Amino acid sequence: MTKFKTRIRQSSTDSRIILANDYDSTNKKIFSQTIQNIKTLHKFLCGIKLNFHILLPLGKKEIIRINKTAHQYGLQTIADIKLNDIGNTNHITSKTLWDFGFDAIIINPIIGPKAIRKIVTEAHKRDKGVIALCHMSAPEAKASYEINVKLSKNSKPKPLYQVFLKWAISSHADGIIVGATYPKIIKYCKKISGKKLDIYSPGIGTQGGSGKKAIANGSDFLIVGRTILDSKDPVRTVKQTGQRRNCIMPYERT
Amino acid sequence: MSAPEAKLSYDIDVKLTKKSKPIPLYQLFLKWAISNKADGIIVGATFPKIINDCKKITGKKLDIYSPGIGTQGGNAKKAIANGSDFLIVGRTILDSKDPVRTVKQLLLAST
Repeated sequence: MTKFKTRIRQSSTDSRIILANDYDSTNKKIFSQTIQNIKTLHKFLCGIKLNFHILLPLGKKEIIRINKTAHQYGLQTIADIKLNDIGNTNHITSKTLWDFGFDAIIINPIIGPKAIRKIVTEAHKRDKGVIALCHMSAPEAKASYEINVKLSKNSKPKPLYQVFLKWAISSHADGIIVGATYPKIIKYCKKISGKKLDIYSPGIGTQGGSGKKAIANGSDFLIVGRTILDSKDPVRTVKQTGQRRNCIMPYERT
Repeated sequence: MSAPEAKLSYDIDVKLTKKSKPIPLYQLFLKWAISNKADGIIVGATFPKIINDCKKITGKKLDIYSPGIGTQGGNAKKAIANGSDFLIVGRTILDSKDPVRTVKQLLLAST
């Protein structure tokens, strides 16, 4: 099998959009709707991201089927659990998700660089990917991710997301999450990480982020959820999202 | 957190304003837990001094839940003595040949 980073690029020759398939718990047809989304929207997507919205109410069999269907339709799948625990729990959780067929997981770097490295090493042995949070799309996240931290007594204080970025690079993670709502921070992260990390940007549309701005500032992939899911015509919306935001374009051409 | 790798992040010095004295990140989390009226906080039994520090600041406002007993090296008695209200125990019980005996022993050790 090829590496996750290669696979997601191969899947993204037509689109850099990842569907955040996050339905609320009142929706009783989560499973069939997810399968339908894959079948009807796959041409305009490169991946699908499953959050606790899906992982908690559905069972192992259904999750495996969703992953299999996504793969049949050429999509990569990401488990968005923002993993953040002790080593043993991180190991068991990621192993279970790999066994379910996921291609990548999102982790919370607060576990520290050594712990990130362990997850990445295990993931890469199975050609799976690890994406670390760097800066969230929610406005409330600013208070934490931009807090000034001092790594040593004599060092200059810097915002926490810059430390997370450094750890993501040194741990050989495959990518980072930086909200499309913070284009300047995307630009900073791209400048520092270059080709080492892919930047995944949520927060497009409903949360106020602009896909075009995110891509122009260095985002490699856009994570879009409610804008597509809440649309009366999701196929049309995802097509428009791509065209309008100049992102349904072959990866290499941009 | 109870894992040793967590020390680097949770103990990182943060400066809330330009002029303020740097404080470790866990103290900021503690402050947020109190101001948001959370019911409790997690502080690893592997860091008894931090348990002590947190209990001093929160008093009865927050219960302290401490994982990391046994397998990870934390000591139940020390955690309770330093202010933990509850002990979270997993592998020590689950991996034991006689879980009932093990949990009884833990109970004795922590009271």
